[in-house]
Amino acid sequence: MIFEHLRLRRRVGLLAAGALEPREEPAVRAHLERCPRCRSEFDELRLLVEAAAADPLRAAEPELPLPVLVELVERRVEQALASPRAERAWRWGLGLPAAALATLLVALAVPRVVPRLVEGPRPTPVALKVGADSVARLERTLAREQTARYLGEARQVLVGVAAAPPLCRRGGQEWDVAEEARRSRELLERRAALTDLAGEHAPSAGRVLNDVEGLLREVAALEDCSRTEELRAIQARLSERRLLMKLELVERELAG
Amino acid sequence: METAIEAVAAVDLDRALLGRLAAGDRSALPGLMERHYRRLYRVLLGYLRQPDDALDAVQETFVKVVEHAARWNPQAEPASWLTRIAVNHAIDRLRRRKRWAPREQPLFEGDHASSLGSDDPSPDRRVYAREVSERLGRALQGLPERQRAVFVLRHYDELSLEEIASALQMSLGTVKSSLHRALVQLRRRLGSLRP
Repeated sequence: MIFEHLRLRRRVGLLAAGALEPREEPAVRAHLERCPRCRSEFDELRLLVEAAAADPLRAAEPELPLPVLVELVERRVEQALASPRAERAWRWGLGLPAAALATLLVALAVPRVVPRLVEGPRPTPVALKVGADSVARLERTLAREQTARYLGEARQVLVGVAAAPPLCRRGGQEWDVAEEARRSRELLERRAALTDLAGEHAPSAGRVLNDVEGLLREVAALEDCSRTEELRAIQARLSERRLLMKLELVERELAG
Repeated sequence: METAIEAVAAVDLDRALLGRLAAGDRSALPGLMERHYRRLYRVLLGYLRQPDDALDAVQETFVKVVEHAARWNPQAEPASWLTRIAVNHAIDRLRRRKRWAPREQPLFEGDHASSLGSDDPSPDRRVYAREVSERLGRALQGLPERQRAVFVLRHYDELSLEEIASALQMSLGTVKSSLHRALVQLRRRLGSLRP
């Protein structure tokens, strides 16, 4: 009995945790019938496992919607890649060898190229001809870039609101969105200049621009110190419309 | 319930996403996050016990996934690899928290209470579950790191012992003894749980 107890004791915990191999279960259950101490321990451990199973944390959801989290992670990745550590790693891993190679190539090439440059014929000036098509193409490109930049800035503002801004200094549960509200007002002023250009060349941009405008108006109307419910309402609308995801797609579309 | 075919397809999709990330294609990140962020958040919350901390940790976990994707061995199980990164990060984080700022905030106050779901309609049961959860959180703090990780992966992520062994790079025997020891220690620290 003592040997059996010592042999099976550890398995009592695994049985309680639902992690015992099925072939071992009959022996452990039979032991529990004979050993009151192990039976009592098993009952207590079962209660513990049930308590863990009923822990509300198991059903907890992240406070931020996925698109906001993705955005935040991407920002952190950018920061991590731009950090001095990454820079150092690049410098020692790739940068120095690349720089050494470049220096070597220049050292080899310069003596051959320089005389040719000196002796070669002077270039004849060519009259620059720019057609109407080129101008239109340039305008379209500029319009797309301008819209993409606008949407990128709007996305930053909306992420700023959704990703828990700092608490206001005056205390309580109010959030400091003064900067986001100010930037929203600026963006709304710039919006009018985009109207004619964006929808024509990227149809999906028009719809997203309208959605963004609606949300920017809400952010612009926020008090500098806003309550949690007001931010939650904006976060919910962002999430419902999957706007951050759409913004990213349109930005890419516009960037070609 | 996920079928075997769905499980294989899910692993293949994870492999494809991680493979793209390893090749420097960051557009694979949202897809990978969508598939794993909830699960990792719950693991991290089970370990760290503070929603803000867990939310920050889940972001840091994915930053590390991007940074180290090139080191991922395509033969390795993607979910286990992600879990390992999350658990190691949680362990580091808890060490730092203990070293620099030994603070524990009450878990169920303020805005986070609303995010903690419960299917139990009875208010008494909910209150009891929350009390036990707080006691469990305090008891977990006293466990050695690996025992704590094994307990959390088993009871908050419902991983099999083999999956835990793979995620934590431990032998199956070590996982079994760690789980048993964690349970016994927790029971001692918690005292009786009879309502």
